Amino acid sequence: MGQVVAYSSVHASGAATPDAPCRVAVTLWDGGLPRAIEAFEGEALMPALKRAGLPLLAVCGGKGACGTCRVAFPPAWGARLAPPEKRELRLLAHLKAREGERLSCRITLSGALDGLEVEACE
Amino acid sequence: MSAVAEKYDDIQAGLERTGAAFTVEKMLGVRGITRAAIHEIAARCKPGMVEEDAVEMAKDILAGKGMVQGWHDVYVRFGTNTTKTFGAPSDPGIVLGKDDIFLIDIGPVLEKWEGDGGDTFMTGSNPAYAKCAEDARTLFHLVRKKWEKEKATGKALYEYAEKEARKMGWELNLDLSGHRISDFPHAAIYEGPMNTVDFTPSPLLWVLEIHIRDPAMTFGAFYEDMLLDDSYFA
Repeated sequence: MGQVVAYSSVHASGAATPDAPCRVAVTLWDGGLPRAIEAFEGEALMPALKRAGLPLLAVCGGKGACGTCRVAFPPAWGARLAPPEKRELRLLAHLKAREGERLSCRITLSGALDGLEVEACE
Repeated sequence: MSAVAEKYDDIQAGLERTGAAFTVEKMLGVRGITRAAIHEIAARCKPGMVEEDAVEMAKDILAGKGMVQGWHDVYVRFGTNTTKTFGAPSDPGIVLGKDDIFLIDIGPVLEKWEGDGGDTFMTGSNPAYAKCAEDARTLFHLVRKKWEKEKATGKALYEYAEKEARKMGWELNLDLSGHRISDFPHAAIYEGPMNTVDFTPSPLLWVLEIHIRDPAMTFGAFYEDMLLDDSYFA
C-alpha cells in the first residue's frame, strides 16, 4: 500500500445531514490500485467492501465464524483498529492468517477510522 | 425424456454440485463429530448458566475438536430465546432455569468439510417443553420418511411439515427450511432454501431443519440433520 489518492470525505467535511449516517473515508487497494469506497460510521467494514464489489464470500453473514471476509491492513492502520477478540484471534491463527490480516466483519467503522486503508487478500 | 424433465434435471444438477474435496466418507465423518459435539455441549449446559457463557463454552468445545471455523455461527439459545429465528440476536442475559428448554444449532467446518446439526434439550420435566422437543424430532423423521418413501420435492416436504406441525399444535418457522451442505463452502454453489426446489433432494447433499414454536411464541424447539435414509438413524 502506498499514498492514498484524493477522495472526498463527507465525514471530514461535515456534509452529511444530522439524521444520515456519517461517511467514513475508506480506500480499498485491490490489484495494486487504490479506490475510494462508500462506507459509513457504525457499519462493519465487510458490507462496505461487498458494496464496492470486492468478492468476499462472507458465508456466515458477518458473525466472525467463517473467515471468508479476510482483508489486510498496513501496519499504521492495523495498530489503530480495536484488537481482535478471542474468537477472531483463534480463527485467524487457525486459517494461518498473515500479519496485518483481520476479518472485515469484525471491524466497526467510526470517525476514528476516517482515511482507513485496506487491502484485498489474495 | 421431455424437455421440461430435462430442464428440471439441469436445475437439480446445478444446485447439487459439489466441490473438489467432497467425499461421502468425509461428509459422514463430520456429521458424526457434529452430532457428538451437540450432545457434549448440551451436557455442559447447567441451570444458572447465562446463555452468552454457554455460547463461548460451545465454541471452545468445537475448537477442541478442530472445528474453529464455522460456515454459520454457533447458537445455544435458552428459554424464550428458543423462539428466535436463525441469525437473529438473542435477548441478552437469559439464564437457564431448573425446569427450562434450550436448543443448540451448530454449523462447523472440519478442514474442508461442512457439518450442520441441531437439537433441543431440557433441564427439568416440563411437559410442554418435553412435547415440543420430542415433536421437533418426530416431525423431522416424518418429513424425512416422506422424502425417502415418496421421493417428495423440497417444496412438498415443507408444505407437509407445516401441515403436520400445525396438527401437533405448533407453528413451523419457515425461515429455517433446509439447505445445501457440502465441502466448504456450499454457499458458493447454492445458498437458497430447500423448500423452494421442485425436485427430490439427493441424500447427503441437503440438511433438513425443523423449528417449531408454540403459537404464543414463548418457547420453541429445533432439530436438524442431514437428509439421509433410515439406515443412518438406527
